[in-house]
Amino acid sequence: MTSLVVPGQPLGPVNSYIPGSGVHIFNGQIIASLVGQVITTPSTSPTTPPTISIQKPVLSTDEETNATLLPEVTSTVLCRITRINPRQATASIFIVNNHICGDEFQGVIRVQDVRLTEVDKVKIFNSFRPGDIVRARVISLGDQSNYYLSTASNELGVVMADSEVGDPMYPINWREMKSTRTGVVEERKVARPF
Amino acid sequence: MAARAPDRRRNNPPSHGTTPPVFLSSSSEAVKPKQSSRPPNEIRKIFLRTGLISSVTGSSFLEIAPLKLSVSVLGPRPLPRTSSTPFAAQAILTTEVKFAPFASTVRRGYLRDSSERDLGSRLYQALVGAIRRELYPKSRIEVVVTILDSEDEGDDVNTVYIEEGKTTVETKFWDAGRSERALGVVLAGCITAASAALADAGIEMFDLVSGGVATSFVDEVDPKGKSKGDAVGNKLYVRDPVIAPPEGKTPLATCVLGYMAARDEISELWISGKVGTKNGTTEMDELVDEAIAAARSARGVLNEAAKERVQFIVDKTGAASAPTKTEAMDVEMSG
Repeated sequence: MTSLVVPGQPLGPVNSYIPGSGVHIFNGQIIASLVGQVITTPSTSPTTPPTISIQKPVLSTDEETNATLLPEVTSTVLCRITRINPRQATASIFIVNNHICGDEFQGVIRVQDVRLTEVDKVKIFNSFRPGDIVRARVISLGDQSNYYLSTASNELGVVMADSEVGDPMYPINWREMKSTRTGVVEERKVARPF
Repeated sequence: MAARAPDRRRNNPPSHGTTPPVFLSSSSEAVKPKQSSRPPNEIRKIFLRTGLISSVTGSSFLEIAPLKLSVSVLGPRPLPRTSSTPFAAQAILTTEVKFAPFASTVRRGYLRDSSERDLGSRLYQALVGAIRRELYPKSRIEVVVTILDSEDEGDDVNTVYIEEGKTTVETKFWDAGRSERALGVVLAGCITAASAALADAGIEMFDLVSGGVATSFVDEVDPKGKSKGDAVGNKLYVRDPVIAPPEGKTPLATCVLGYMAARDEISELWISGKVGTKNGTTEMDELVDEAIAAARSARGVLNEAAKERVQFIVDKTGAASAPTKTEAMDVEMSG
């Protein structure tokens, strides 16, 4: 049974551990900053000290909503396109690093961040439509209201989309999706299926 | 026949009828609260529990004799989308303290009044330094305190005392510093409970902040002669004071502080009243030390309360593999 610690409780000197998550350093000591269990992970090489971190247990594993979760640069997110214009697509982020966030965050995909090559030829209108579910990566915390997102990678882009008349579509190549019912082909910046 | 939908346009009375409340005609006729037998260096017993409100990130409920309050912590959540809010590299903390209309001995209004705003800004000051705000950029953390019961006597009384600082004919039955004692106990409770709620929310902090109050009293001046200056000699420091002063004593000053025990730092200090110097040691130092001692006692309860909910979860999730304990043990939490 591991013991519980509270914020402010010293865990050990700085030179005997590597600080992990949920701790901070003050006066040469590693101090807990969360209530939770102390997790000590031994390092792979014998010369480096073990990593110490604090883990706050959750009541159930189904409860994956993490209320204190915030997107950061390099996070992979799932978002829903809310508005498009020729310069950018606005999206609402609802999953950050495979965890559901408590509140949705607003992000934008600018036209130059849609794909890696032939950036000048990208048309937002041919890449995203409102309602599409997009896998993207956070490239900047952005301005006061938007996170800046990018889909400039093969595995990033539209993962779920409906056609203009509302039928679900499946990807047929990296830039087109086909309606399941009518067979109509629409253009999207498609994410590579896993 | 389908049941009739409730009438939402009118203010529906309860179906069983109500009895009108009976109020005392004036506060002066109020029954004096009984003096407790607790020694002056001991704080009242604290009931503190976290995680009672499921719809917010973190919550706590605190009870210290008549004082009852609940704290909700919301966030970190995205900043509002108005163009007026600038980019925030650190989380923005907002604190709000609200007395329920029935929380004071005199009924309060629904709008925030000046003493509630004052308590809110003092609570902000106590907490803002303890939170690791740099970990939560572009977000805000809201701390909302609802006071359900207290010894406070309403904003009219508080304003008379804080702004004028002297008794008038109408306010004769109130002693000096009365509202500061009542509000001080409320503020200390707010600080302790808010720390527990922040810990429950899983927001990273440098240290938990606990609140402490102490009041200095002197012997009451007899009407014939002795001035107040001579009576300073035998001072009585009371930690966590109740609103009624001890028998035969007059209050001098009250100190409320937010204290981070592990770092030995004071994050918020509020002293009102008369403090002077006597034989080299200042009364202020003594008073602050008493308040720190009160905050240290509260910290013990705070630590246990913060751990209790996590321990419950650990036991519960551990029970899936090895069914040992399913119910959380009740912890006797005393100051």
